Amino acid sequence: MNQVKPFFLLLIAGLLPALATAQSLQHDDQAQISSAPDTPPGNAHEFYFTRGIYSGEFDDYDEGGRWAVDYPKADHQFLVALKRLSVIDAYGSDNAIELTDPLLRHFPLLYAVEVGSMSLTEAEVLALRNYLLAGGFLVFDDFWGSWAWDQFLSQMQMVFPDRAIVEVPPEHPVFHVFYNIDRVIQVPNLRQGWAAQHGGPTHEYDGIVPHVRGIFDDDGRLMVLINWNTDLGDAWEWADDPNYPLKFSTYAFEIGINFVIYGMTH
Amino acid sequence: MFEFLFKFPAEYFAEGRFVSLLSWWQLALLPLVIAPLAFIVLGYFKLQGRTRGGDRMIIALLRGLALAVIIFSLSRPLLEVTAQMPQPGVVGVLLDNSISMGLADPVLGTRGDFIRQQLDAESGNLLRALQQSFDLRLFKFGAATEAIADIDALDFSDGDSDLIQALSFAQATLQGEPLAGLVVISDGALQPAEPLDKLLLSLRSARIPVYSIGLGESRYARDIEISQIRLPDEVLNGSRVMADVTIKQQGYDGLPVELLIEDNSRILHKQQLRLKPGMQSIRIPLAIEDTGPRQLEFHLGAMADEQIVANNSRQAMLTVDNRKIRILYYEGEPRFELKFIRRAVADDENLAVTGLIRTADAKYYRVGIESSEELRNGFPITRDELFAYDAIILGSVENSLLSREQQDMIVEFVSERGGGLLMLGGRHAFTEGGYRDSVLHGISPVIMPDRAQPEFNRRIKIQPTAAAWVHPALILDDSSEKSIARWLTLPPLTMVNPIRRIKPGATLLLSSPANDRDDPYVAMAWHRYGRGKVVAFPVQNSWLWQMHHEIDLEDQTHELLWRQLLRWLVESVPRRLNLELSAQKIHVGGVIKLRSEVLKADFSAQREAQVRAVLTALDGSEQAIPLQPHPSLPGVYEGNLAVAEPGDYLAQVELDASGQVTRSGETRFLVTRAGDEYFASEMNEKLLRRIADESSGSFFRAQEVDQLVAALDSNSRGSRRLLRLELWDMPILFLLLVALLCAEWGYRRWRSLA
Repeated sequence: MNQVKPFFLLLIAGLLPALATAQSLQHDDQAQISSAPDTPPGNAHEFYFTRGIYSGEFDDYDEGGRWAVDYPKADHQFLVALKRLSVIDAYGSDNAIELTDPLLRHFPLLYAVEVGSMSLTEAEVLALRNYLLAGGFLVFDDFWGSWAWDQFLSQMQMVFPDRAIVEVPPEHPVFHVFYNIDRVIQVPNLRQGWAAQHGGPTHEYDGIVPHVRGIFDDDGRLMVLINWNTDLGDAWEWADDPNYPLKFSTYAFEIGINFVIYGMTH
Repeated sequence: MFEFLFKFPAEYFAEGRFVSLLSWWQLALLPLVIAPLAFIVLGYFKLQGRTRGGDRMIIALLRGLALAVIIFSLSRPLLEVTAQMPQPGVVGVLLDNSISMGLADPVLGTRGDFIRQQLDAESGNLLRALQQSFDLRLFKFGAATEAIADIDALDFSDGDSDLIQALSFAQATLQGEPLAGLVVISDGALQPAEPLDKLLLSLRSARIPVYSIGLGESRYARDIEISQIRLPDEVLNGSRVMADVTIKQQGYDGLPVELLIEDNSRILHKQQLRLKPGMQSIRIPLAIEDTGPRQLEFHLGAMADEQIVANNSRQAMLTVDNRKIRILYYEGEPRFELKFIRRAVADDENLAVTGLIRTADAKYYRVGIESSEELRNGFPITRDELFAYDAIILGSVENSLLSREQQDMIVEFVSERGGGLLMLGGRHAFTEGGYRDSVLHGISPVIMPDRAQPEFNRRIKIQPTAAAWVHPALILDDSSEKSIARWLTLPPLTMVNPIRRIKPGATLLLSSPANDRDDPYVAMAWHRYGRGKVVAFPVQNSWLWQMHHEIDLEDQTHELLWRQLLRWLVESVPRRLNLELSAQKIHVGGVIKLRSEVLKADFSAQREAQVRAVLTALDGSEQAIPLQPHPSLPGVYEGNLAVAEPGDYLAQVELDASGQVTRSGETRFLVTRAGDEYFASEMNEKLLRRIADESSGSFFRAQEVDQLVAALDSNSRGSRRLLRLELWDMPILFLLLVALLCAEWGYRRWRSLA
């Protein structure tokens, strides 16, 4: 997907450095909390779809950062669906935040993409570990192939050296908490989605088989949900594009809402 | 001769006074009788013929005197005298036979020695003095009272001294005898179990004076005692137990003493106390590791020259229950609060939180259910289904999501079933959720504002009130001081339900200052409603005390708070089969009252059931006591149990319903020879003096015992009585009447009159 929209990345690259930190939480100040100017961010609504800002190995942050792929349209579109289909009191806009920001802990559900290029600093490793052990829930999305997996794995082993990454079984509540997801399907990016309608492949690189994997805590609770070889974010972002196949965007919304409700109840 | 003529001794006429048995109107009729007679007498003066005036006067005088004698007799004259009766009065002597009679007095020796010296058959001064004037009846009393021939029957071994029962027994036994009074020789140590008023009324109406002789000191000079221990009857395994210990001391102001609390020889708590004058109470948090019926031992170190050491130790029982408490958490929308509460209690084997979360309109998600049928149709609509839980947490659930019937059922869940209700804050809670005019507002401990403020959203810094400093649910550290400090360092939360008032009788536990002018915001308040508890906790994100970056990963504050809060919420939730004992400790031969409440699945009363109490001794032997239905309380069964052997016992109740036998949890109690005789063992002068004063008797200390006989003599009703003596049939009156009539007849003969 990022290959097809370089102009878009360039555009937001110019804006994001200034907005990156401020954008994360300033929305709350615009929310109706005027009665308490010192109100901490994140309390005007129950749920903020929060996107993690991380350091990248190739440091293309100046170009907008890999964390910001599909941002913020995917977030906005997902929130529209979430608010329409559930009764979650969700903040209607995006909310990106750096992993090392102390306010990250105000948002117990975190979404991060393109983590195949993630290269965490020591401070980010510590912050992420503490966030998860304190009770945070992290959903990874949109990274493809063995090369990206290896990079991602190296990063997660810094966060949790002793915790295994395992396949999440189909009977796990995360697949049934709101919608019954019987089968994990591969959600393609915009270009592959067009191609798939004409018999083309849906995968990128060598990421042929989609996986939903997880990292569990000592009590068997799912802390990290890893969507590998799939791109939910693109499906949300292009759900309004008539050329993007409906079945992929529908599935992406369904499983995305499941992730959120699971993260809020387990 | 005088007594022959006048029926009674001359002293009676000297000391007594005359009264008439006729009423005033009968006396008023006398002139009507006298008037015709006077007319006849006057007739003599009008007679003509040979009769002279002098004769007529003499005859009229004699006839008039005879009539006066008759009238005197007819007026039923009485002589009222207070006379010493010829037989001796009876005095009942009640002797305390309890173990506390073995306590020593610095001057008199033991209290029992005093009784033996004074009432010894050969050398007892008091016995001899009493026997000179009165007929004595001896009784000994402890838990029961019996008549005895002499003091050889005393062994000072009773574990109780029931003075009220003893006086009632003596009064009933001596009814009909000329009772001069009752003498009680006792320390009166224990406060009477029954109210005194009924006995005192009975003694007063029967005019029986009680003379009490108090043994022992009314205030020890040097003693330290554990006066009282208060523990809950039952706690959940792993709960913090708050023990309230009251210590009384004299003579050791300001000195240190060690308090040790043990459970089966395992030290639970140890601390140095600085003794304050008189009474002092301390509240101690305890963590009890073992389950089942527990006997906790409380010990105070012995002090130098202490008079009574036996009262430095005391036992208290409680049952540590290992049952699973089921809590229904109902949320009107997915919220992180549910996730983190469930997470906080996940490791607690005694708490199971089942979540029912509305995820979309008419769509619910259930988490933590035990079966696929549980909550299948949403929030329960039957009592059976709802009452299966021990507590309900109501999250951000708008009023319209609960029907009137469901809300009524929640009210019954609290008031009748005794369940706990926790009302959390949220955008659809309290007034903001439309509850201002609901029945749930009626059971809430807070007064919800009239108008919703949906725009209200405030960061609040929570402060514990004084009530929270020692509240078992809110102590966050080993001591109150550390706990308060912890509260004050917790990160702020947010509140969307501005509540400032609690209901009368409710307790404010947590608050948040608003500003200088307004009342603080209510952050937590509770009250008891019927048999259950209702807590309002109008904050919406206590999970921040788990997730906040200032909270260390190892910090257990959030987990501790929620475990303690939920455990406390259900602490007194009754089960379907309960057993209550009237005491945790009794003396040998004492009676313990058993009371059981038996409820059906919907927690309505189980009538006409076969209910037995089963008593198990340490050797495993069992004794079953049938319990009888209470005459007016449905589902309540009662019985009494007397235990003859000292030791540890376990009691439980057994229900036999349709051939299916169910047993309740076990409750432990202790049977000792001494009972509580060594506690509050100073002479209870107040009690003894009150009994004496209100029955017109007297109170004496042991040193004043020689004044007893004189007091009995001067005030004894049995030996002197108010007598009303009939005078109409005195022989002198008959003789006088005959003499007067003969004199008239003789005069007539002498004067040859007709």
